[in-house]
Amino acid sequence: MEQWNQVEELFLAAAELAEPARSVFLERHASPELRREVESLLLYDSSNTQPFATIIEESAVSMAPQHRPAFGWRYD
Amino acid sequence: MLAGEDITSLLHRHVDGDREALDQLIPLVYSELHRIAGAQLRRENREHTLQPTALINEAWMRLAKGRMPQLENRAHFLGIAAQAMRQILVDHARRRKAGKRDGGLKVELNPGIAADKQPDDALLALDGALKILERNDPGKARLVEMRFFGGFTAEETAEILQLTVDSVRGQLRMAQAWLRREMVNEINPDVANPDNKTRT
Repeated sequence: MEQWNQVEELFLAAAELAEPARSVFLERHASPELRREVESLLLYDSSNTQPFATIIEESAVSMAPQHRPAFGWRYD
Repeated sequence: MLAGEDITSLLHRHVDGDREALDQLIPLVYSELHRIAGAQLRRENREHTLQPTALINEAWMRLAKGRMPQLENRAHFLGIAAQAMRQILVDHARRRKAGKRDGGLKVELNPGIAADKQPDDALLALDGALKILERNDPGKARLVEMRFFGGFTAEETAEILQLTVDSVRGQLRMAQAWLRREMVNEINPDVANPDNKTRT
């Protein structure tokens, strides 16, 4: 659990940094093991991937009778 | 249908850590949400859009029968309702997949969604990843449910759970990255973990 919290803290801090500052930050604050974990998670950070919410929204919309939107989720 | 006092006492028992109360609450909320959603979808208004938060609020009004709920009860109810919304969508995806395997026509597919974009597999993968997250960090799993299945904004989620908005946003960001990786890992382990290291 302690490692999980450390990963979260490092992930959130690193996510706010652009390269090369990100690498410098992780080099300084993370063990090689933690760094690998954080960098692996950063690959899946929101800025790099399809909006997460789309999965749920598409699934909900497909529940509706034809041509009618079923749910209107609000995401910011 | 249970009387208002029953749901309030179930919520009290749940707040006190009674696991059985939750097992009774979920199906109760599930069926109420399902009923309200079904009734609204049958209406003839083609532009009608259901808001999960509106559905949840209506379910609360009906189940609490107009009693003034304690704020703490309401927060618990909203969390449970978001869980029930997740279950409704997952059950629907499972039923449809089962229907497809049977070659049956149990559920009409929405022609607006291309065949290769059927969201069922993705939703079921997300549900599976959430189950693992629940074991590691149940608080984050609840946040994901509130935000994405309950449709509450980050601000509303923060208010309901009495957290700061920054904490909610940060935890959700971490949870989403972890869940996405887990989902990809399920489909293709080599892509998710190129160096083949064990995940946290």
